[in-house]
Amino acid sequence: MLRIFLLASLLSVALFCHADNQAIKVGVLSFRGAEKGLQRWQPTLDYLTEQIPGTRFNILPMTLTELDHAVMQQNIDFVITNPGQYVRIGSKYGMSWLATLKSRRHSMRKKVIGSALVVKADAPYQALSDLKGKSLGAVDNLAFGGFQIYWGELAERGINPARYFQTINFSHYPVDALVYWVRDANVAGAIVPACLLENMHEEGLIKIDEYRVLDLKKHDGFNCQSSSQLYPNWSFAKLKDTSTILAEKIARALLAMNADSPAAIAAGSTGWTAPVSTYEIHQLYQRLKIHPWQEVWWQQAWQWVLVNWQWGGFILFVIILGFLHHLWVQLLVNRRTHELEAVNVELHQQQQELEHAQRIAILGELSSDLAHELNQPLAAINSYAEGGIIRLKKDHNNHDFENLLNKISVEAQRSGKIIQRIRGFAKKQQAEKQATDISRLVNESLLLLQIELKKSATNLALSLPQEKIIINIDPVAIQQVLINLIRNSIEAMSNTERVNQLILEVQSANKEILFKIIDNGPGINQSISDQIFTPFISTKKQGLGLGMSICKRIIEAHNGKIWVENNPAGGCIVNFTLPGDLNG
Amino acid sequence: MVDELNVPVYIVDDDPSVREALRYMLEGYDFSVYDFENGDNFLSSIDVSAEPGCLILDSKMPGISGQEVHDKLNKLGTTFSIIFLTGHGDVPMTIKAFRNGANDFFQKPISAMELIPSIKKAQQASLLRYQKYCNEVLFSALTNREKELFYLVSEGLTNKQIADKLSVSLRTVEVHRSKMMLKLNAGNITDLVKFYDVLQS
Repeated sequence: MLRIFLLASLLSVALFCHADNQAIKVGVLSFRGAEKGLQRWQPTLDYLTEQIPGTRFNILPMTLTELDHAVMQQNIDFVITNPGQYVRIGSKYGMSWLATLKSRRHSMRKKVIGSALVVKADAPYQALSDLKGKSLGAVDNLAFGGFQIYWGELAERGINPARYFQTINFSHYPVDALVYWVRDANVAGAIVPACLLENMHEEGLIKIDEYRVLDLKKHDGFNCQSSSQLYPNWSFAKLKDTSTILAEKIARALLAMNADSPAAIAAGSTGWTAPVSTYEIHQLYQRLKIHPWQEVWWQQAWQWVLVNWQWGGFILFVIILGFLHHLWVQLLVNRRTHELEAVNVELHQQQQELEHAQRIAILGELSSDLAHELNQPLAAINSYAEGGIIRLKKDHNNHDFENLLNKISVEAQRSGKIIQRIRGFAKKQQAEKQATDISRLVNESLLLLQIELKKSATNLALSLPQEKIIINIDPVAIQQVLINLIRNSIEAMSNTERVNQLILEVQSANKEILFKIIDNGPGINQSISDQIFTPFISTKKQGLGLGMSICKRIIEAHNGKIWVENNPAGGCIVNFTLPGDLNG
Repeated sequence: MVDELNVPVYIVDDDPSVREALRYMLEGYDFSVYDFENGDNFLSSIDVSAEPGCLILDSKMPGISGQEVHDKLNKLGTTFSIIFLTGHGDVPMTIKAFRNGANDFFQKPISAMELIPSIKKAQQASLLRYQKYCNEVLFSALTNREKELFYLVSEGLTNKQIADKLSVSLRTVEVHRSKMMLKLNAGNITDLVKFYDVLQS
């Protein structure tokens, strides 16, 4: 609240009282709070206002993040900050050093910024390792002395602080709070900027002997306790678009600042010197893999969003809109997919129905043959039984009835098998693939047609593979294909005068089973050989034109192929293939 | 002379079980049974024109069908009786069979109650045909004068009446008559009348 009030009052002063002078905004990092920031830097800016006529320097005390944003948005003209922040954002936003502060406390040293690992004096922690698995306090993960410098020390020893400590609690600004956390044992230890303890002691805020600094490093001429190596002091920097002429004037004025001037004393300095190298800071950030030039894309994107939040918001809005649209489209696609699936299922069912109907039609056409076939064993059973009866009447004892009854039983089983075969073919079933013995399937199919073959006086030459072939197919469907194709051939051959010669070959090669049905009928007219698989196109007077289209569908559902060619020796060859592996 | 039970029964059917079972049943009824798996085998082993026989024929068989066997028998001229025993027959098949002279037409399965009487009837028919055939053979061996005499004797004329009618001596009639009776295996006038009846049937 205080800071905002101060800011507002300062701005109003700048706007109303000095409208005739050029107002220059200088952002200063106030890590111990706005008040301390004003105390430290107001005299320096007053000095500059005095030294450079026609300009008025307004101080804007800021936290680390506020200063970051101000630089990104170019809301200020100059910056007074530590070299860590300068490297972190300065190198991206084209800032340049004008002068580096000379430390009053360490007048012999140029490098005066470090970190101290502070614990309570009476705490049991004697070394860094004692803090392992304990809670640690730090200022901010972007704070230079208050975190990053000591992080660099840890990194050099191969320690990842995020894992080494149980938690890292960031106090943010002002940093004094961290020292009180240590005092109140809110945290086991804390990383604070070096010299903070000494300054607070001198200001009477704490008693320095109530605290200890672990991991102490000695630096000649540096009389604060530090746990780290030291880095260059704060500097005065200009932003990219700030006038170079003004910057030169400022640089001259700063370099000319007297060591005993109030401005120098307030800033804890003996004046300003030429800017020092930031090389070690670049090195530190590279070691920590947080150098601004190493920033990963999303960090840059986030920075961009932070600066251009209106655009960022718009883009976010567009992204959300796009996402909603995506959801809507997804919904429509799902709905449509379901509809299509339902149609597909229905179509599949209808195809199954059609296939079933055609099987029933085949059985209907074969029914008299099948009745005849069934009559054979029944006739035999009857004859055996009546033969037995007459023998019993003649002589009660003198007969081998065991043999007779065996024969009757064999015939009864034979009729049972015929019925089973018919039922197997007629059954209505979901297409279920199962491991099927090809030779057996072919023989079963031929058994259903044996009377038809007999009636048509067809000589059948059957050529099956020597080895047993078992593939994964829907046996009823493939049987339907075989029966359709064989009956077509028989019918075709009945139109010629030649002796009917049918060859049924099954070959296994290249992971494929090839079936060939070769007849010596009239062959197929080339002009319709492409159409025969089309439904309702038939070359037969009484045909519905369904047989071949059903065959094609069944074979293709098994990932096979079916085609028809003319036999060079006369007649027709129908070929079809089935995948030869069990997973077909 | 063969009696009817001695008229052999022949089975032609391609189905071995049917053949064997039918044979088993018929042998139970004391028929002499012979079976063949197809028409060609049957036709090449049995003389169908000069023996009595009852043929039980299946219709659908590989090679020549039952109907074709029947046609061939008719063409050869046969003394056999034919009974069709088929897996399934239809009206045209039945009509054709009877028109061609089949004795009966049955569908499988057939009970002994129906089949046995039919076989017996068929055997009788075949036997009759066979006797007629034999009589024709004997009759055709007669001289013209003997044939003339046969008809006159069969009509019941006495030797005297015949001698008058033919204007020959009684002695001549007696000599021709005894020669004719000998040739026709007829011992007396009753046999001769029977022979005449068979021949005229």
